Amino acid sequence: MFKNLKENFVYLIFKIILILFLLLSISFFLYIGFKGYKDIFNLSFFSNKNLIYSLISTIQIIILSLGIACPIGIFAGIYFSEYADNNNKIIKFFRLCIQILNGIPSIVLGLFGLAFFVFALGFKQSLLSASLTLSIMILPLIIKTTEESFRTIPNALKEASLALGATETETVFRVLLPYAKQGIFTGIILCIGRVISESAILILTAGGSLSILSRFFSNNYPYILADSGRSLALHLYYQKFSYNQTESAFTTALILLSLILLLNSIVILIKSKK
Amino acid sequence: MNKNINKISIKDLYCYYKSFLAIENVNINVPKNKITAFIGPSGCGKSTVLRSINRMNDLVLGSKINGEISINFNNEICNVYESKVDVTQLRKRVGMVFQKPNPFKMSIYDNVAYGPRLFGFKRKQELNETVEKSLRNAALWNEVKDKLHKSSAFELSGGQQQRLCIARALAVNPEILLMDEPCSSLDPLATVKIEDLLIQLKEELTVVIVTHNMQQASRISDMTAVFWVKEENKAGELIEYKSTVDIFSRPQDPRTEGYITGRFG
Repeated sequence: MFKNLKENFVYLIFKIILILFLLLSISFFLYIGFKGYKDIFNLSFFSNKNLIYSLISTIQIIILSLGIACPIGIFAGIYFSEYADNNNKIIKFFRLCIQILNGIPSIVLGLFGLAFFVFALGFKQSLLSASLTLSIMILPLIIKTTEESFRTIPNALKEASLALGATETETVFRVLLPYAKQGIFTGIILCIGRVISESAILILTAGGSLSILSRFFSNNYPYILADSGRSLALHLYYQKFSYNQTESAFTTALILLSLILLLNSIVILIKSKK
Repeated sequence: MNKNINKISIKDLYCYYKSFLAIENVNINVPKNKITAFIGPSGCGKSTVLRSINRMNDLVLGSKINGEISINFNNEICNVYESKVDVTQLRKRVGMVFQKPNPFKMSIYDNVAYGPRLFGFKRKQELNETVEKSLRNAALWNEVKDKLHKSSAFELSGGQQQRLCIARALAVNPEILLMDEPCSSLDPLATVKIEDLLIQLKEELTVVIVTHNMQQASRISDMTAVFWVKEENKAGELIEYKSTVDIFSRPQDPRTEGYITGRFG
C-alpha cells in the first residue's frame, strides 16, 4: 500500500513538471505569435522589402552553405564508416578534429570567417563569406549523421552484396546508400535549421550594413552572393539593436519560428515513415 | 560427367583472427555436383572454413589465411588466395547464402536482378529471362510471379525470403553454392522446401552447407565433414570426413559418434 503511494507521488511530480514545461513552451509560442502576427496580416508585409529581402538571402545562404558542406560531408561520412581503418592514427586524428570542430562556439567560427574569408581571401563581408563559414559549422553534423546512418545498416546486407561479386563501391552506392538516404536527409534538414537560426557567424561575416540598405531601396538588389546581406536572424538582430523596432522584430521572430517548426515537422514526418 | 572430380580442394588450411588460431590444418576435397555438409559444435570453425572459400573472411579485420584453397573451374585450377585472383569474379562464381535471409530493400525483381546488373546485363529481355529462371530454380516463381515489381522483398515470409536469397545467388550463375546454416531461422516446412531445392540444384552445381541440424545433414548431403574444437588451443580442426552414409552408420571417431547421436556437442 505504502509503496504504491510513493509511486503515485513520483508520477504526480513528473506530470506536474511536464505540464509546467508544456505550458511554458506553449505560452512562449503564443507570445511570439501575438506580438508578431499583426504585420503579417497587414498588406504592408509584402511591401516590407527588408523582410522579403532577408528571406531571399536566407534561402541563398542555405543553398550555398549546403551546396558546399553536403558533398564534402556525405563523402567524408561514407569514407569514415565504410573505407577508413579505425585503428589508423591519421584517421583517429581526423575524427578528433571533426569532434572538436563540432564543439567550437559559433562566435569563434565567425571570428575565423572574418579573418580568413573576409580579410585574408578578400571576400569582404558578404553572403559568400557567411555561407563558407556556415558550411564549416554544419560540416561535422553532416559527416556525423551520414556516418551514423551507414553504421546502423545491418552488416548482413553488405555481405550479401559483396558475396554476389559486387565491389565495395558498388555495394555502397547501390545497396547501402538507399538505406542511409533517410538518415542523411534528416541530417541535412537539421543543418538547414541550424543555418536559419545562426546569428553569431552572420553578425561577423555577412555584413548587412546600412549602405547596402540604401542600394537595396534603389532596386539594386544584392541578389549576388558577393554582396553584403542579412539572413532573417541577422535582420532580427539589426531591427532590435540598430533601429529599436521591437514590433517588427517580433514579426521576423515569428517567421523564423514558423520556419523552424516546419523543418522539425518534416524531420518528424521522415522519421515516422520508417 | 566425371563423378570423381574435386571441385574444391582445401590443403593445410590455417585461419587466424588476429593472434587467435581459429582453424588448424584442415584438408578437404569437395566433390563436384554433390552436397557436402559441415557439421560440428559451435565455435569449431566450420563457418570459417566455408567463408574462406569465397574469401568472405577477408572482410573481417585482422583475419589471416595460411594454406591453399583451389577451385576447379572447368578444369582450370584457380588458387583462391593467389594475388592475381579477382575477388569479385571469384565471388560471382562461388555464391553464398547466409544464416538469416538478407534480401535488399527493393522489389523482388530488383533483388534477383541485382547480380546480373552488376555484371552488365542490360537488355530487358535477357534480364527477365534470368530472373524467371533463377526464381524457378529456387522454387519461388509460382508464389511471386504476380508481384515481382509490386512487392518489396520484405513482404515475403521468412522461408520465401531465404529462397529469394538463393534465387539472387543463382542469378549470377555460380558453380558453387556455399550455405551457412540456411535453415536455422526457418520453420520445418520452409526447411523441407529448401532441402528439396538443394537436392535439385546439385545437378547443376556443387553445394557446401554448414548445418547444426544432424537430420538435415543425413537427409540431403552426400559427404559429411565433422569439425571439433581442440582442447589445448580452442582451434577448430577436422576430425572426420567421409561419405554421409559412413559417418552416420560407422563413425570412427568417438566424438563424431557422440555428436551425431546427440550425446554431446
